[in-house]
Amino acid sequence: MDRLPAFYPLNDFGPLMKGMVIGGMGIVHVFLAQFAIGGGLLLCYFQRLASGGRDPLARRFIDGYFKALVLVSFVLGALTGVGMWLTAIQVSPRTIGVMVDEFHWVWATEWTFFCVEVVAGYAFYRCGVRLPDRSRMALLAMYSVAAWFSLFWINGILSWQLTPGAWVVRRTVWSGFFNPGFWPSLLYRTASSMTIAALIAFIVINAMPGFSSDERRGLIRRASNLMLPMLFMPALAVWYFLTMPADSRSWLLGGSPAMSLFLAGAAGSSMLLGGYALIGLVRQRLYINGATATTLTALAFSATACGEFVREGSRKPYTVREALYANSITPEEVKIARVAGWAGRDPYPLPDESAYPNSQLVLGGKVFRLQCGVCHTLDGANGLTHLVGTWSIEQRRMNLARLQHTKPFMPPFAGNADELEALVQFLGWHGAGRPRNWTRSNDEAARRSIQGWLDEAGTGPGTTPAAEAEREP
Amino acid sequence: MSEVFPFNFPVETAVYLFLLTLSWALHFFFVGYVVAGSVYLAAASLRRSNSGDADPIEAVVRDWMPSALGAAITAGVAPLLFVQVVYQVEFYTAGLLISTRFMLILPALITAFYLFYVQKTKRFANWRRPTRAGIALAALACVFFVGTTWMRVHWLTVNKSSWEDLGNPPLDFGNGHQALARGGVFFAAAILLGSAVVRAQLGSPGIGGSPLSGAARRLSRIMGFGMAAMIAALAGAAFVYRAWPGPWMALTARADQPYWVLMLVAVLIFGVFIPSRPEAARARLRARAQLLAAFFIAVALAGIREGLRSRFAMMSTLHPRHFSLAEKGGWAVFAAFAAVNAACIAAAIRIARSRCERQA
Ligand code: HEM
Repeated sequence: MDRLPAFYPLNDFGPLMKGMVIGGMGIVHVFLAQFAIGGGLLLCYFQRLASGGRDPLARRFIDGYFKALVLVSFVLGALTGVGMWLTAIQVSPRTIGVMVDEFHWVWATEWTFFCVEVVAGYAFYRCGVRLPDRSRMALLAMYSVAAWFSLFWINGILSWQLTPGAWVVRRTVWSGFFNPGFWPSLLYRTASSMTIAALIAFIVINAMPGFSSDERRGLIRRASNLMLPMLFMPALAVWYFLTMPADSRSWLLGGSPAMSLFLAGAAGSSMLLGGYALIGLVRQRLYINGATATTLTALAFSATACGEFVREGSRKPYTVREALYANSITPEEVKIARVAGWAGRDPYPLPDESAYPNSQLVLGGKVFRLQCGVCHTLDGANGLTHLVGTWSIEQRRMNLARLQHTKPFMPPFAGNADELEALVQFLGWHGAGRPRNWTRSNDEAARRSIQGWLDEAGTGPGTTPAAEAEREP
Repeated sequence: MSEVFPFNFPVETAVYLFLLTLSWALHFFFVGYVVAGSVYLAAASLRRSNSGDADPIEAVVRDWMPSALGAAITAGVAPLLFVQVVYQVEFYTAGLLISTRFMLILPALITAFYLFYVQKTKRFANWRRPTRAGIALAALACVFFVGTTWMRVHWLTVNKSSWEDLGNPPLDFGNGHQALARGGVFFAAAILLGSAVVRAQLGSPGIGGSPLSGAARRLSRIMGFGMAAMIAALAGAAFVYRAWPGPWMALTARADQPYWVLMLVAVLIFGVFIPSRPEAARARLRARAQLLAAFFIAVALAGIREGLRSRFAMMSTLHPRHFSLAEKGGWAVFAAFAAVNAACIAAAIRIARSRCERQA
């Protein structure tokens, strides 16, 4: 038998869906990181304007903007970055483990750029005001290039999760890194970084004391130039969409209503923002006050949030396409689990195990923890009690055994018939309010039916017809 | 099987361990400043009057704390990566066993960051003493919380027998005593490292202003205390660790000897320079020698720490994993960019310093 992976003492997040927790942290981090990246480009642009004393306003603006960058992005941006590591370990240790194993040298390389970003940033923060233009430009350029390269490296890893491309066969770092989604995603994120940086510039311009309204107007006009790359964003989004696997595309186009709504949210917010920026700010040269700028920034945040949910959600049922399911079990391991069981090997006790009336329910609790808990809660968001509440016991047995066909964005069930029955019993017991006594189920006929459904469902993913067609050689 | 200095391990394991050790040393170098600085600021805030302007040590520390914390965090990311490479299962399990505390690292650091920024503001000096003390002590508490949480993580990575009891006993390796011993060494070393950096800052025009002899003398006393405390803590730790044959063998193993030598060299450098009159000639050279010695101490501690852990981890079982990871490729790109970016960092520091110094 293959070497089995380590089990981890996974924790329950109560009513919070684990995906929402990592997604929430990710959204804040991505937004702040994009502010830092776009901010670097924006500062270089203004420094060019300021060089040789040509535009003293630009120089003053840079110093004010940089303070905001340091206070917000250097603190919250950097720490939410660390937070992503810590949260990923809590949510799905095996997934982050696989990512580290594949790309540790890429991450190590990214860290060297992160160091440049921090050192150049702090050097500018501490001494920038006293430096001549050439030195300021040198520091800002270093900061900006390093920040953009952080995006370059991390983008390769994130896009690999959805579109691993040739890596599936070759399994080398660079075949995974330069995957089909790499370039559209990199360019899209660069454009969106510039937009976020410009929006925050509008807020800073309005908040900085000492500018007359004409001066503010001039600065706003210049900062809006950073939003011009938004023109390319629809084309880049379509390019990215076309690199996605067919089943992921189908979730977004109605296969999963939640995903379709997030996509609509991302597209709608971006279009509103783009329309205002290009028609109002660039063409009509409208003035934008602090309140409007803040509202537009909030809109950009919501576009980022929806976009990140789309990116995370469209990978389902995988976290690494073709290699690792969302519940951190590999396709090969599903086959092993069908014969030899899976959750039964989990050595870690459940937190309140002594309150369980029998060992079958304990096993069911472990099946839930290992296989369902990453995307579902029991009673909270996406709670299984609500989802299976109206199903008869037969329906539960069948739908869970045929999990990947019940909804193709779920992975196949990884376990044997006894484990599936344990899960069914656990859900029933929990739904009944966890009574003190609960009879063990020993229904041989039910076991045979479950086995039949499991065999019928197979161990592969439950792909959509579109995905099947794409798989055809 | 090839075995590579300074670790008696095959080359793949040795490279990853070396990077973990070196990057943790860098992390601890900055952590030293943050720990020592927050203790100093907390102590200063408890004094009757606000001596911020009068005390150049306090002024320089206050000014540099946010950047130092930023540096400690940035430097912490590299060992965070390499510990996942070398001890993946152990590290993840430890983080999951203390999940709430593990996640609280983030709010604690964010709070500490902003509290250090608050202490830099002009307004802070005008606040009442209890307010100032409250802020400085809260920042110190956050730093201590984070440091002790990492110690708990480390302890769980080596105490595998406690895992299936969700981090509770039985233990291979005692809890209270070793935590105290370890914490004592880290704390004392932090005081020594932090004061060495402040001394270099005070001696560096444009960073801390010119050294004032009173402050420099005080710094020498703090450094002397740090060194004595570190030696005492190391002796205490050796005494405690003797109770466990495994760790004791690791501490005295041949592979660990270079680190003990490095520690000795560092202590000698400090021993020679701490008593010297601070305003003596070539103060800057001396400050730099101490800075180097401080870094040696960080490396020595890092090496001894990893030597100790490798005893528990049964490295021979981890080697096949390291071997297959090393096969994946990408290290050459890392090496190339590490060199280029180190040059960029040096250039950025040179640009900033040249101008700051000229102005000073
Ligand atoms: C004020 C902030 C911090 C302090 C005082 C601090 C202190 C420490 C100490 C004392 C240790 C040694 C623990 C032991 O060996 O028992 C340690 C280890 C470590 N720290 Fe930090 N730390 C801080 C922030 C951070 C941050 C922000 C990160 C991540 C970005 C980090 C990453 C690490 C890692 C990865 C280890 C090694 C853990 C292991 O090897 O098991 N630290 N830290």
